[in-house]
Amino acid sequence: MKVECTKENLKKGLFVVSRVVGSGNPLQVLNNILLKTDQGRIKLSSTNLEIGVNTWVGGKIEEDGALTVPAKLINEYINNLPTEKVTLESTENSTLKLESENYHTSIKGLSHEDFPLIPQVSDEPFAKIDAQELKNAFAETIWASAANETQPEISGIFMGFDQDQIRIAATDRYRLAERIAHLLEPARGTKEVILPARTVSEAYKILNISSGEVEIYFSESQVLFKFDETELISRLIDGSYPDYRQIIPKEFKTESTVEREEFIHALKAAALFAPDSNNVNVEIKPDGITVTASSMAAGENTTKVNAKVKGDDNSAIFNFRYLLDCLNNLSEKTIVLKMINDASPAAIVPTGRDNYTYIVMPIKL
Amino acid sequence: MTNQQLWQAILGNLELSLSKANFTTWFKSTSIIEKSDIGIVVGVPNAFTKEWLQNKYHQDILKALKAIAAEIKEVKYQIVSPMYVSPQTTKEVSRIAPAAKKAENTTLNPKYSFNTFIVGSNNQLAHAASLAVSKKPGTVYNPLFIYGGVGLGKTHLMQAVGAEMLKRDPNAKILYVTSEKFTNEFVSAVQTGKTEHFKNIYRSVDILLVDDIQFLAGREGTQEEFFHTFNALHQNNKQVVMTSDRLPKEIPAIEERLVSRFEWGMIADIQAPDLETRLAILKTKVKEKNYTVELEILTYIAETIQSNIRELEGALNRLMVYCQLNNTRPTIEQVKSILVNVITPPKKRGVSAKKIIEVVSDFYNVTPEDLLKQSRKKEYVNPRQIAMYIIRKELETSLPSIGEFFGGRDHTTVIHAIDKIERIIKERVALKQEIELIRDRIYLN
Repeated sequence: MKVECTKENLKKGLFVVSRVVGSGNPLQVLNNILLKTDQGRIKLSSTNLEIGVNTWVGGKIEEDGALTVPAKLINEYINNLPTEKVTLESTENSTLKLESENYHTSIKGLSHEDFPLIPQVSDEPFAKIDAQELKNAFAETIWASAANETQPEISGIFMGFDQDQIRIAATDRYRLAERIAHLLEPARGTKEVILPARTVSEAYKILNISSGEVEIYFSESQVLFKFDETELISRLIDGSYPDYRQIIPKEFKTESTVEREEFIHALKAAALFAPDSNNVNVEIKPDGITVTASSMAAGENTTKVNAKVKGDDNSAIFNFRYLLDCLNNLSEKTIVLKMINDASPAAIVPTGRDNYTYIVMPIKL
Repeated sequence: MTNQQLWQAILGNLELSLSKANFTTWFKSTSIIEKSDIGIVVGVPNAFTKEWLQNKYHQDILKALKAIAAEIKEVKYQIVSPMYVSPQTTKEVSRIAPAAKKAENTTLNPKYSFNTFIVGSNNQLAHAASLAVSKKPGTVYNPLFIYGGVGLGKTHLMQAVGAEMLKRDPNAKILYVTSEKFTNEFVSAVQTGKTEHFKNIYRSVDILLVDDIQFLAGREGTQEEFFHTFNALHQNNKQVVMTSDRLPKEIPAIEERLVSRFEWGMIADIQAPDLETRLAILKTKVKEKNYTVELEILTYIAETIQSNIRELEGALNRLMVYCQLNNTRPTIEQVKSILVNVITPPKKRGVSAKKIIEVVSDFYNVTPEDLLKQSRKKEYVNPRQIAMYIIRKELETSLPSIGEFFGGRDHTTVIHAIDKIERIIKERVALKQEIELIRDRIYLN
């Protein structure tokens, strides 16, 4: 193999593939990424046997071939390279020679023969979605999944395809985020799947540097996301997602519209006085929202935030992190906080769109 | 040949020709899931493994198969319910899980629950910690280490944690073992080469309850295994609860790294119950068993039996059996005569200075000769003084003869020893507890 390509292209490609690679895997080749010439471009692949990533970068192919090299090493080397172009050439003994102006390097690699085959999905795409839309939908939901894997189902992200919509949901049993994303055309059927959180966060990172449309494929317990230059394939989580829709209340007693930034400031101020419990009291009166917190050790704080309030007076105790998680990931200027009482789920929705709902349980003392 | 045996035979064959890393990466969590006369279906954990076996190892698998079962010509691959972290035999565990779960959870004795546990000032902390742990297993105090003398309710509390968890989540995998059982199972797993299975059982539980952890002392292999089990569980935020008759650092011959882990979460002690608590315990027992006993009698029992709840229950049972046999209601006089053996037990019978020295030296991991000889090493002096103290208190032997016994020491030496121990007991609860434990042991046999 002999190819020449710009450092920027190579760097971008390496960024995409190198994160899924583990280190210290007993099977050496799994710590490597595969470089391969593929129809006039360079294909980079990596896998941890759970997620596989392929990405293609442009370059001048002088000689076809393939080789694997340690992901961490080549990634750090290329990141550090101040030059603009680099020539990659595989030599005997599976060594990769990198030539770039004054930089002469040989990296010891392994034969491409031993590199895992990343499963192929040849079907028609199941659904197509705008990259920006999918990115926003992920941004607003994925942090709500359970970090703990005792219940594999809720450690993942739910995606329910129906007509031209995907319901994307994540919950850890104390809070729930649901976003409805629009597909570019109706999906080829209805389908409900659970994706590992890791897969979704990788997809999200790739979406950050992608544009255009994303194609989603399914085959035998696998999902494939096809971005413009990149493919991400992952297993799905087996099992059925809890029927979360039944916990979303239909009606609320109090609805208060508040400026998002102001509410965040108030919560952050209160947070300093709830260092151990994370509990802050949120009280809604006709003239606004009052956030209070107190601790024996630190002291206490009360902040009032102006809000437009409809309905009864109300108050409840929340974990401030659960509120901030949601508020920080929205971009609207104002949001609506909806409450029933101090023991029923409360909701946060952004003003101006109805495709997002965040449900959070109050804390019972 | 069962499917499993067949697959094991094939794996054994393949293992020879592959590197270890290759073998474990590609063949872990595989099995034969279907077998007909001419073909087998191999279950694989993910699509990567499927592709790889299909494209790279298919010929090798066929060849191995031919050597063992020539009639089978066809091998297919199928992805079966991929488990999240896939340790070697996840599938096996998941298949046996329902049965095993039942067995594990029945290790809990249903009579031990928080409802039947009587809280007094002596066990408040341990009770509160256990309750907190049962509410939020794995997050608040992990590990929870409960220590205290015999018959004070350590096992009760520990099992109550398990029972409470089970109430909240009937699917929780709870495993209660004595450290004796842990050791035996580990040893037999090593002997039969089933360590993997052993590990899977212990590392897949949601809460591990280990009773009498002090018996791990001196068993190095088991300690190491326990160390790894502990780490695996702790890392995954699974609760570990242990009991012992003394503080972690006072357990002799146990590795430092284990001690530091035991001390990591929360250490709660259980002391001997005070009079009110003892009375409350008796009242509950009476109610539980539907006996009719006057308060006066209960008070008498509670006043006279002071240290051990098991004895307390024993005395009550003895009394009740006597009354049922003779069809009388107990009077205070009867109680005194019935319980005379229990209350002023023939303790002194069979207990000699020699026996006390043996128990003390065993407790502190020295030899009886060490106590008798003329060495002033610190590790001998302290046990020697404790032994003198106990002999004096229990046997009321005269000071000069105690001195005589300990290699002809002067009686003033003995006085000094007893004074010193008495002083330290007042300052350090731990020592008091140690001495209680030694006493218990002396009279145990």
